[in-house]
Amino acid sequence: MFKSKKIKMNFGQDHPVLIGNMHHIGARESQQDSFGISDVSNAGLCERKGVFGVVADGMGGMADGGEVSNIVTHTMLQYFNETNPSGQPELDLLNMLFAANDNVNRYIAGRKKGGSTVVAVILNAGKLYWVAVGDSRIYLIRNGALIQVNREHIYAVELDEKAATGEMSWEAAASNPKRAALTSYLGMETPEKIDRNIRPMQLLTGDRVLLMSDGVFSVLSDNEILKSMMFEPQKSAEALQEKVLAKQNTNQDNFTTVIFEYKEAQS
Amino acid sequence: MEMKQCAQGGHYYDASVHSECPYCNSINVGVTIPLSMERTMPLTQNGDNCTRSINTSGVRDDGRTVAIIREELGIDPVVGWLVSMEGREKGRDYRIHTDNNYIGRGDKMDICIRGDDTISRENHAIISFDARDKIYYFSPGDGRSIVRLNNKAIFATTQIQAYDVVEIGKTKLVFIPLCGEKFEWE
Repeated sequence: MFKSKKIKMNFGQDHPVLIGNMHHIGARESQQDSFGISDVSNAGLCERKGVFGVVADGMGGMADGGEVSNIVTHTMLQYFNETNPSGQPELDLLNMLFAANDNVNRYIAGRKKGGSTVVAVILNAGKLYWVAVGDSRIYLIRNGALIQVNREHIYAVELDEKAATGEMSWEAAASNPKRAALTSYLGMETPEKIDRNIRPMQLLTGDRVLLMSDGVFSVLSDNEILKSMMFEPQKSAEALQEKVLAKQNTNQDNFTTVIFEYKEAQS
Repeated sequence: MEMKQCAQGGHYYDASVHSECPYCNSINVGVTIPLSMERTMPLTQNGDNCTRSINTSGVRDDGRTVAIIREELGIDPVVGWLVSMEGREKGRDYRIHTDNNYIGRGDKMDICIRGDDTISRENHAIISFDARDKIYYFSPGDGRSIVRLNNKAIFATTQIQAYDVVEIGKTKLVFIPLCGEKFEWE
């Protein structure tokens, strides 16, 4: 059992961020996605640190995917809540990512191997800070356009680069059975690649930031995602979920989305 | 719609539909699961976190998030079995893989024995296969009740042989090794 806090959907001028989320097991036997959002009803926390969101996708091909992604989201959320901000949110994000990686490694030590992707953002003072490892995605929606913010750490990226430089043929690159395998994830001693912005991205009023596991964007087109965004964030999240379920994919992966909508504070 | 944010994970849910956070439940964060839920699970359940019975298809679905390029996993082959000869799951087999296999009644255990309340949720005992020396070991874990090997209480890691009987809670399991002189994985 746990407590719940009642929050208003309209945060008003003190809480210039609207939130939506959805989280579904798909057609799988276990839920290996996890997500978390900081307490947006806590005005002091929002004022001091902004708003934090995280989505992690545990690796189903490995043991304990659900537990590992859970450790990632909980560690990062806890770090955000309890650690004094350094004044540089981009560094805080990086530190919480390393803290999560340490905890994952501690958990999997002596067990079967495990791992997780992660995408996380901080929205603070009208600016977006983000960090990503693995094949989950962060999108920015601005003026009706869907923009992928991070690069995915999958083998396909390296294969296509090799094809482009003539090291291998396009056919060989395209038919490689391991295209979708991750080249970086939490659960490595040190994640080989980390995508993040070192300069904050200025948000404009009406911008939306989406965190997504691959169970969503691998089955929905950009257009389908955009069409779900016509509503307020929580309704949009539900619309996304309905669209994924409507595909009736017998092998539907777990899928999760967190949506932030930025509203400039009224002065 | 009455949106609430749960204190545990910061998930939003419609409180007019759910009495508690539906997302935390699905991932069992620190949530005690009633035993009846564990019992109603089918024995052939093919969950990733649970030891598979050998007649269950082990084919992975494509599209799952999988690793890895630099650290090729290959297969995690079976190296032996525990077969329940007494207890709630009498007749069932549990796969043993290399290195440590943690035994308990929780879902995330390598060897998950459901329905026996006398077995701890986590790490009641450990069965290990040392692939280098080809030796099987049985060790007590953090369980409350004593574990036994061939009716003798065990307090330290002990080597085990084919057809030894281990006793965990009210469950007795016979140990069947696969790897040894006659067979090994290449």
